[in-house]
Amino acid sequence: MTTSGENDTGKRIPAIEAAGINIGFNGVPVLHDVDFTLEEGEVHALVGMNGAGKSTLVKILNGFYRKDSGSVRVFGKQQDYDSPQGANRAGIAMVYQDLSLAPSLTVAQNIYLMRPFRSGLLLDDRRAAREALALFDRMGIEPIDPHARVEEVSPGQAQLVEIAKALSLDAKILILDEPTASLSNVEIGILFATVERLKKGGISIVYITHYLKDVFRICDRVTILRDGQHILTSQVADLTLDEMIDRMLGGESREGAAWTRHRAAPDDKPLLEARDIATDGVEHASFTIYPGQIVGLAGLLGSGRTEITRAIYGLDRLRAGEILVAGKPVAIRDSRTALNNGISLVPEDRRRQGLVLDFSIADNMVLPILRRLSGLVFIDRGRSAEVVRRYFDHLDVKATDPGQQVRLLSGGNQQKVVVGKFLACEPSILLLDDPTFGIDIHAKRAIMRIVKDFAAQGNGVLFISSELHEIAAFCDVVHVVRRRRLEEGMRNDGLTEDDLLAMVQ
Amino acid sequence: MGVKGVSAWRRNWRDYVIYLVFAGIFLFFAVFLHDKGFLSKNNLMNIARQTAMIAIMAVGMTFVLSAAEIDLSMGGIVALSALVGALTLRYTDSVPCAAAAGLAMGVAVGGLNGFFVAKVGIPSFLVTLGMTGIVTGVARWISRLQSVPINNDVFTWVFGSGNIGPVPILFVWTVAVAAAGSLGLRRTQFGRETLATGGNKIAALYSGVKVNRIKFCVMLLNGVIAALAGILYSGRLQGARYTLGENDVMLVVAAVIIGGTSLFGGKGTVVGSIVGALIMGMVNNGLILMGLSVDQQMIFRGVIIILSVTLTMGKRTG
Repeated sequence: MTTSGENDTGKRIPAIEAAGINIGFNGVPVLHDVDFTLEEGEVHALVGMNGAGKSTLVKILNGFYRKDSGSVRVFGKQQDYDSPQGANRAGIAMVYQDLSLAPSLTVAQNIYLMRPFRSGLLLDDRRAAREALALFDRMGIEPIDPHARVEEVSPGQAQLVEIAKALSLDAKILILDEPTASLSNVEIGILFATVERLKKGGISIVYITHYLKDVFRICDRVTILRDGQHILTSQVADLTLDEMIDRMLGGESREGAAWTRHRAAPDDKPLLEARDIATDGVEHASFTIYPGQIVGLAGLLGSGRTEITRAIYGLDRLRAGEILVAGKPVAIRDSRTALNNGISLVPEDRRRQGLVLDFSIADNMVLPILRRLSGLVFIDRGRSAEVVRRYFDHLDVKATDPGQQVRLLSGGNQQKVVVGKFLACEPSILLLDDPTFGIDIHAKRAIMRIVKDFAAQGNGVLFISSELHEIAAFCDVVHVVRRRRLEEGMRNDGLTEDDLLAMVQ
Repeated sequence: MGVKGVSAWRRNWRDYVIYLVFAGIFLFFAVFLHDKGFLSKNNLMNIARQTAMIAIMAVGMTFVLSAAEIDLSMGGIVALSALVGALTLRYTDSVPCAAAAGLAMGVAVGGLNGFFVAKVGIPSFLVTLGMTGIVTGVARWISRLQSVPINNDVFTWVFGSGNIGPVPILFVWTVAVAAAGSLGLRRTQFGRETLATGGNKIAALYSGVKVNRIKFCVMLLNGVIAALAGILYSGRLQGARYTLGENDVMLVVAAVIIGGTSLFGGKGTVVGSIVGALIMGMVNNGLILMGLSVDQQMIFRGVIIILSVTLTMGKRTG
C-alpha cells in the first residue's frame, strides 16, 4: 500500500498538494487535518459515506469555501484563492453534479458563458460554435450540435458539455462530482472514454463517486475520507472492493443497531402492490407491501429510487403496469388521488417539496387535510388545532408553539413537521424518501420511532435512505434499485450495511 | 421569553407598519388640511366613496397575488362589464338581467384568463396583458366610444348611489366584499390552498392541493369582482363608459402590496389591502384639497407609493 507521502518518483510536482486542511461550520469541525495529493495526469477517486467530507474538501479546492487552516499548492505554487474564479485562474475547474448549465442557451453559448468571444461590441456565436467543436474533438467525443439548446440534449451530453465548459477555461485540473449519477450505461461508457483521453492529454482529475465499481474501472488512486478525516490514499489496484467498503465504514458506525425492530411476518392481503410499473424514470418495478411491513429501497442517489415513489404517488404518469391498493387496482392520477387512497409521501427535499416555508407549523400540518377539517364553508379551527397539537406533541417538535413559522426551525424539526403533516392524513401506506437526510441524530431517532410505531399498527411503509445501515436495521424486505431498475425483494435475514453497499454498486 | 418577544416583534413589525402609515398620513392631512375641510363629514364620505371601487378590486387582487399570479385585465373587465350591464338595462329595463349580464362578462373573461393560466400554462402577466387589449377593444367597439347613460333609479340606488339611512350603499358593498374576502382567505380551504399555491407551488402539489384548479379559480373570482366593481361604477356615475377603471389596475396592485401582500405569493391579508386602498384614496383626496395640479398629484402619488412599499417590504436589516 502506497500512501500519499511516499511519492515513488519524488521529483514530479503534484498537481494539487493540500496539507492539514481544517474547516468547520458553526463551530462544528467538518474536516480535520486532511491531506490530499493529486498527481499530474492521474484520475484520483475521492470516496466516503455521506457526510464524510468529500464535497467540503472539493469545495475548498474549488474556492467555494475558505479553509480555516492548512495549505493548498497547485503545481507547486502556494495558493490562497477564495472564489471559484480564483481556482480557475490557478487551473482548477469543477464539473458540478447538479448541472450548472443554462437550459435555454445553446451548447456553445453555455461553454463560453464566462469568457465569450466578441467581435466588436457583439458576441461571436459562430466563433464559439467552431471552438466548441474543436473542444469536443479534443475530448474525443462525437460532436454535439453547438447550436442546440442545452434543454434539447440528453443528460449524458449535458454532462459532456459541462466538462467542455470546464476545459474551455484552460483547466489543467478537473473535479468531477458524481458525474454518472444521471447517465445511462452507454453514456457512462462515453464519459469514461473521455476521462481516459483527457488523462492522456495531461489533465489531472479528481473523481467523486458513490459507485465504487467505477473507481476500479477508471481511477488510478483513491483517497478515502471518513467523518472528516483522511483514512487512506492508495493505488486502486492494491485494494479490493470489500477493503474499500471496510475503510469507508470504519468497522463501527453501527448505530443502526439501536433501531433494530421486531419484524412482522407477512399475513393478510397486501396493502400496496406495484405490478411491473414503468414511468419515464424507472422500468419494470414490482413490489408488495403487507400490513406491518417496512419495505426498503436500497439505491444510490439517481438510481431511480425517488422515481418509484413519484410513480406510486401519482406525480409521474405510468407508462405500463398497475398499482393495487388493498387488492384493488387504482388509477392514481395525482397526489390527491394517492392521498384519498391512503398513500402519503414524505418527499426527498423538505424545503422545496415538503413545506410552505412562510406558513406556520400548524398551517403546514393541516394543508393536505383541509377538506376533512372544513365544515360547509369554514375550516374548523378547534378540530384543526386538535390535530396539530396531537402531531406536534407526538413528534416532539422543538418550537415555541405551533404558530411558529417553519422557516425558522432546524432541519430536523422541519422534517418532523413534514412527517407529522403526512401522518395527519391518516394513511395506511407511508412512502418515505430519505427522511433522515441531513438531520441530527435526535430528530432521526424520533422519526424512526414514529415510523416503527406506524408500521406496528398494521400499516405499510416504503423506506428509502441514503444511510444503508438504516435500511439494514430497519426493513423487513429490501429491494435494490440500480440504474433505474428495481430488483427482486429479499427477506432481511441479517443483511448488513456492507452487503447493501456492495449490492447497490 | 422577553428576548423572543422582541425578536418576534422585530420580525413582524412590517406586518403592522401599514396601520402606522395610514395613521401618519391621516394625521398629516388632518392637521395641514384642517382649514380646507379634510375632516368634514362630507369629505370623509367622499373618500370612502372614491375608495370603494379600488377597495373591492383590491380584495380580488389579494387572492390573485397570494396565488403568485397577477391580473392586469381588471380595469378592462370593469369597463366591459359596466357597459354590458348598462346596455342590457337599456334593452330589457330589468335590473337583475343587467346585473347578471355584467357579472357574466366577469365570469367569461376571468374564466378565459384562468383557462390560459391554469390549463395552457401561460404566465398570468402575459395572458392578462393580452386580455386587456381584447377587453378594452370590445368595450370601445360595443359602445362606439359613447357613454351609455343609466336612468333606472333602482339600479343606481342599489349599485352605488343610494344610502341606507346615513350609510352610503357603496360602503355596505365594500364592507360585505371585504368581510367575505377576509374570511375566505383566512378561514376556508380555498383561501388556505391559494396561499399555499403562491407560497410553494411544489409543496402544495405534494400536499394534494390541485394547484391548477386554484389558479383557475382565483382568476375567475377576480373577473367576477372586477365586474362587480364595474357595475358599481356605472351605478354611482349613472352611466357606463369604456374609460371606466382604465387607470385602476396599478392603484389596486399598489394598494394590495402596501397592505402587506407579497408580490411573489404566499402572504396576504384582505384587511391590509383595504387599508392600502384607503391610503390611496386618502392621498388622492388630500392632494386635491392641497390644490395641487394633476401633474403634481401624479408625482406625489408616485412618491408616496414607493415610500409606503419601502416601509412595508423593503430589505430587512439585521
